Amino acid sequence: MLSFKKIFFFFLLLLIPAMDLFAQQQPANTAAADTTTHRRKAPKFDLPHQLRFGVDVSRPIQNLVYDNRRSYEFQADYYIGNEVYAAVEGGWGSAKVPYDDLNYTSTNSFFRVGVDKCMLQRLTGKDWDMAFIGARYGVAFIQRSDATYTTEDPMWGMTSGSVPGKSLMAHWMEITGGVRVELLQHWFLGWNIRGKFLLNQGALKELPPAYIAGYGKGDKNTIFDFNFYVSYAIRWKKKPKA
Amino acid sequence: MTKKDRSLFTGVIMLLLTLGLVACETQRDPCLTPTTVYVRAGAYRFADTGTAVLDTFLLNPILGPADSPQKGYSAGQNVNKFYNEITLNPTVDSCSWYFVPDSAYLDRRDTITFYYYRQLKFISNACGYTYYYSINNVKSTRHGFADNIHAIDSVVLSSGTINGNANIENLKIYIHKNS
Repeated sequence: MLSFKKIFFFFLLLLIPAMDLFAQQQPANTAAADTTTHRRKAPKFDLPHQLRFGVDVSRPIQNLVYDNRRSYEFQADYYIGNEVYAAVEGGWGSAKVPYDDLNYTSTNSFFRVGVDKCMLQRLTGKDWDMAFIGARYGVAFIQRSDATYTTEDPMWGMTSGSVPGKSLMAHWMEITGGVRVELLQHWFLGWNIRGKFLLNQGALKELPPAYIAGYGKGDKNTIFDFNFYVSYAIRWKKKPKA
Repeated sequence: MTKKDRSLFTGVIMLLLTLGLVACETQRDPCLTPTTVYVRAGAYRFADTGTAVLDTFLLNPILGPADSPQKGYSAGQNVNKFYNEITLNPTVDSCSWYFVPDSAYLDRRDTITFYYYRQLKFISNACGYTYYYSINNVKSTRHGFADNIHAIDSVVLSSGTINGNANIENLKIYIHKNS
């Protein structure tokens, strides 16, 4: 079985060529003219405001693959300057554990807030492509139903019981990276990979939900995850300074 | 290939890989943790001289719940460890097991009674729940045979925590010298 670390570093490796190809793109006039080795300053552009909304299109696919869980995720980011974006993500989902020995359902909503830092040098004022790294803080509010269970002993037979439902909260930190490419004007395609680290394992110890939308399996302290976003950007010009 | 083509290509590869990972993932993880916990017992015998204690191999021991004599385990031949036989009743706070050191002498049948607290324990979503136990007392009783013919001399509880820990022995059963 692949470990979390192996998967995570595998995808980090995939990021490298993507970032490298961006790094190779330079404006033709400056690349030809500049033969010195000193570091050039990033050109300044008069950029408009940009607010971008995205939907994770991989979740509906996962919903089809998995019978026992549902999740929907959305995101928005706003360019705050210096190649930094403020990001807000949210969604909801549900899970069911429908087995004879354990049976319960859970629903939850979640949101994440954080920032992304674009690692690419902007080529023009209209270049909004980005390869980025970022960090998030996430929180999920979970409703777990009554759980029924059955234990089986080879000598004493079966025992059944129930555990009352409960409201739970999970919160976690994430590191993330990914790309956004403006394929059509205002329309972006991009993906995120995420490493998630649960901060309150103890709160979920009694009966962790099988799946927490926005986080992943509730009984895992570290999670690898990904998103595949289709996004639309709204841009408007800044008011000229008086 | 343009920048956007390469980016799109990378994205598609990512999507395919992640879908591959999703497809490989099972609906329910396999349960890798034992869901039945046992009282791990060992058989001992006092040396003929002095107080030295020896492990003792029993020819063909039989164990079973005292209130269900039709049930039981033949623990094998020439064994002195009973690590996967004795379970506690999860519906009550005490239970008894009968113990016969040698099936050739079924009249030498003694009983070990366990008194314990039960603790419902969640293992994982893959395994569900089980019960762990904390034994607070153990008694061995005899079943009215001739005074000098007993199966068990005494029992000593060395660890009352029954939680599937495979590194400890919970109970020492001292076999009667005439058995």
